[in-house]
Amino acid sequence: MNIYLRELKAHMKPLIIWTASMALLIMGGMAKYSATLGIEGMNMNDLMKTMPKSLQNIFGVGVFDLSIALEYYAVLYMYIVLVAAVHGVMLGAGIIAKEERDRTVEYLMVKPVSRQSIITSKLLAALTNVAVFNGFIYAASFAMIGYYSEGHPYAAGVLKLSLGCFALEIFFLAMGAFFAALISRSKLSSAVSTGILLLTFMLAVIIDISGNYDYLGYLSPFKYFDAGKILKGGYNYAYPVLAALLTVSFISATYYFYKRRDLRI
Amino acid sequence: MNIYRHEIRVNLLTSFLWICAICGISMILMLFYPMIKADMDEYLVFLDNFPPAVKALMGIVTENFSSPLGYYGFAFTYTLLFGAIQAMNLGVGILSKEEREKTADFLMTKPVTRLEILTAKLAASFTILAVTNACYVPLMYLMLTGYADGEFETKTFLLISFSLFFSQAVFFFIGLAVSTVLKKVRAVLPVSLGMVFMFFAISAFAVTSKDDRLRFVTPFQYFKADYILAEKHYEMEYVVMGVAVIMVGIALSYFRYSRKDIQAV
Repeated sequence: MNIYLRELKAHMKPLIIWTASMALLIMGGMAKYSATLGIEGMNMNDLMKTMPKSLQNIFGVGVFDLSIALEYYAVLYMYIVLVAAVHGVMLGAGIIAKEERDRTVEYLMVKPVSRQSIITSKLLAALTNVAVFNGFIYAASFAMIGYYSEGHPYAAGVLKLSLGCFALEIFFLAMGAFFAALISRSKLSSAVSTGILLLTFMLAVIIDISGNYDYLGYLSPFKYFDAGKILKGGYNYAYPVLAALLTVSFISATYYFYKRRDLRI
Repeated sequence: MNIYRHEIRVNLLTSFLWICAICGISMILMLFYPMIKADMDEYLVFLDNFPPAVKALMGIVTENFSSPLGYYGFAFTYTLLFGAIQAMNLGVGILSKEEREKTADFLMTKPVTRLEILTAKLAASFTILAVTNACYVPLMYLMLTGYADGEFETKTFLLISFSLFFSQAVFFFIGLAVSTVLKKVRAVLPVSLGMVFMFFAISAFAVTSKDDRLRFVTPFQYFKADYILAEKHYEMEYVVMGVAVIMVGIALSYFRYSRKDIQAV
């Protein structure tokens, strides 16, 4: 419990900065929404839909009808998710690696707590941070979309998207923790998990541009919670199952490797 | 000179990996050009069935993508994202690492002034950024001239490509200034990635038009590829803004670092 509280306190300031910037970002992004896109009675979206899939993806509209607030938000969603993933991976990697990095690990290890309970407290503290962060993402998104929705149903859609964002961030949190437990050099472990994040993000971009390598989506977590599929149907339920399996494996491996690791002092 | 050589040596591997990442990602994105081009040609034929007003509008939207340079301008967004992370990491890390790794008092006992230390470190960083660009630009030149049948606007290509270096300089000095203003940087990546991805997200979804004042906030918007493609020159006010950020960054770093209280071990 002491470790949990200590970690919450230590992460208070970063959490406030992340949450505030994210809320501002969502508000700023949604403030640019206007229901009147297009020319002379022709809807810009119908025109966009005449384009081949690869071009639609390049222009970032894809299957969305930008005149509906929720679908406008879905375009922003990809970037919200990206920022959340960065937050998650840094949090997961940092919370495990910081004791050795800041040379406080000896102090911690002489306390009468097992390594397992240390990891449990730390992961719970990280999870609390992620929950608060995503709670604010959900609240900001819900309020902004609600404000612009003009009677279109949106509540279920925002909830689904926000849950997707939450699940993805937990996935990256677990991945960051796993590499921090596996590799004892904190610089190397955070570089590896960041590298994976960037490469899988680029893979998702490339899948979008090419428009016909959808099966590669299994390799990129950013494709697991695809806004288009979530809102428009055709969502592949193998993705969340895979994400959950990977998350659980990463967390188990975190315990396994941290327990028997030679700490760097 | 010793500090310069030392910095180059310790950054050798990281820089090599960054050069591979930046060149690799850009190359892979460019490999999709022939496919996009085929889709585009098909679409332009299809557009002939539409009324002239629609044809004109969609022509403007899609115009850029029928040439390799236009597609390059699109792919450049992601190159810039990677370049920004490289530069920001260097900027945040290069001074703060001495304190983090407890080598600051070793360095401070050497017969060099702090100004000389900072200057040597800046020179090393800019050598690394220059080498990165020296690998990237010729590679892209070869690829693009390979794709271009007939005329190729070398000037436009160079303007877009050199904006990588200018943007990297801006990101570098933002990172450097932040690292000297913060009391202690415990880890580089959370700080640098947080800033880069926030800038990226602002650029991707909060900025919606050419005249948006928010463009001054994010360095990702200082050199817009589609503007350069259309006008064949940079936007002066944003160049001025970029230079201003760099100047403030240099001044702030020298000022803060020359009188900073550096913690001894």
